[in-house]
Amino acid sequence: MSSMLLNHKLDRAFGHMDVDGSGSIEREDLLGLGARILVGFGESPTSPAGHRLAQGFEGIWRTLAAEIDTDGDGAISPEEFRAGMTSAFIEGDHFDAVFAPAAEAVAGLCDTDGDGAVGPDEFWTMMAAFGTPREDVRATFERLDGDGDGVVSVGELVEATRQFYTSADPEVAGNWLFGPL
Amino acid sequence: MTRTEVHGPPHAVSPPARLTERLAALAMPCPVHPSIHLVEAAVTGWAGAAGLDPDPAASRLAGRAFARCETGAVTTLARWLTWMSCLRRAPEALTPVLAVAGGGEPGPAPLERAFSGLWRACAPGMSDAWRERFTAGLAAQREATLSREATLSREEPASLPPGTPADHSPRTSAPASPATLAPLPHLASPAPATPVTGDHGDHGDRVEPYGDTFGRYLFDLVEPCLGVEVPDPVWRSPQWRALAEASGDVAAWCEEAVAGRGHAGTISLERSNPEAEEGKIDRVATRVEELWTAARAIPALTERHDLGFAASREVTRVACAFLTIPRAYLERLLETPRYRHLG
Repeated sequence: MSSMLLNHKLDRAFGHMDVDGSGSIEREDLLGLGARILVGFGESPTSPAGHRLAQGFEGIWRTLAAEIDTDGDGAISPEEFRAGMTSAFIEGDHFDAVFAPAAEAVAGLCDTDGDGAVGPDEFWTMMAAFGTPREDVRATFERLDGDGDGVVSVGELVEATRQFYTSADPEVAGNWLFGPL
Repeated sequence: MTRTEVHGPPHAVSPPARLTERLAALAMPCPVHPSIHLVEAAVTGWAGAAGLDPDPAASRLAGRAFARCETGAVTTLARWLTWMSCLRRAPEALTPVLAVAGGGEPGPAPLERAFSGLWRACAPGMSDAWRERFTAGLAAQREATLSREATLSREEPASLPPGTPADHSPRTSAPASPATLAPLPHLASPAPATPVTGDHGDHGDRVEPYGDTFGRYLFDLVEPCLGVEVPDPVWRSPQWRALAEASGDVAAWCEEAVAGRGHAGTISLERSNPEAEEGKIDRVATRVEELWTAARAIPALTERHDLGFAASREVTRVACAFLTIPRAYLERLLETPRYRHLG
């Protein structure tokens, strides 16, 4: 069951990048996701925050390519994606060094006024970049906003990201990060 | 202080350092495409074969604007920018170039033949709408060039010292805001007529007399070089125009700030006037704020046009390039011999 849940979430993550449904993801797909986030928040890639995000996504790609692209064709299939994400970020120790900085960069962009909290509008902007349907965003936000104060802290958002990509626990709120599974 | 500003009042001495110190959008160096040396070599070879003067600075600008794109996209952009660099020194070629764009055969001139090749490589993959706006931009540039030549021949004082910067076109020099958008940038930012000197040994210095036209040309070329296209209704929307114009203005006004050049068509050096210099930087800061605001409107715009996720992704790739170009262009400026000491 737990591996089924993880695979299901990884398949969802694959879909965030394979936006044209080609069945594989390439470097430009992942960087394109970063571009959508940057544009959504009106941030230049040449700003410090934009630079951190772009570097973070580059790092994820390099790690994925090294771990996953076993046939070296520069394209990652769903099977390669599952296997590599698992070996690099779930069973391996690359999450803190590679994935977390990118997650923190995204969460930092969501915190537009720098108060450490992400409101529903900023959350929607981020979710839109990932292609989450608008109708799912409200439910997701409410799930992540555990105390119901109308905001999600940056720390909670980063933790939800970790839970989504690495946790096999069906009860964690982070499973809802991109809408209902 | 807004989100676009990193620090309070800048402390750096030179205008470019003050820009990069103060404005978040300009704070970080553009990464350069990892294959830039291959691109430079390929484009230099292409230029030589086409009979054009090579312009390595054009390749580096392309390598920064498209730092994370495929090598082919960078190469195509670098070729276009090289071609345009040569065109600015021979604007009379615009008339036969337009004929080629209209389906005519190129003549023997290198600019015509090179354009023919670039056009054949890019135009077929684009829509009629893109081809029309690109050629309309060239036509407008030709008209403006002719008009400018006539004006200069009547008014340019003979005592103007060598190296005095040419003034800017009225639209690009006048502050613009999303609420008062002037005509589309490529239709209204003509390349000033500049004599072909015959001495093209140092291309880096040539960026200065041409105002912002080099930067603005980029906006027409991003789409075909990336192999994507912004749907015409989106492209014509006020939100998209606000984004494109703001990006072009930031690039152009950075150049003015670096050059210490006046705006509103004046021809004067104001490097000795700190208040005027600071005013230019303030103006760039305001426009950067508008640039970022315009970018934030793009996701809702693509949703409103019901583009779908894949098409939206293409639009945001172009928008992201627009957010990158001002810093890339600033770095190109600071590589020129004229401004290198300011970097």
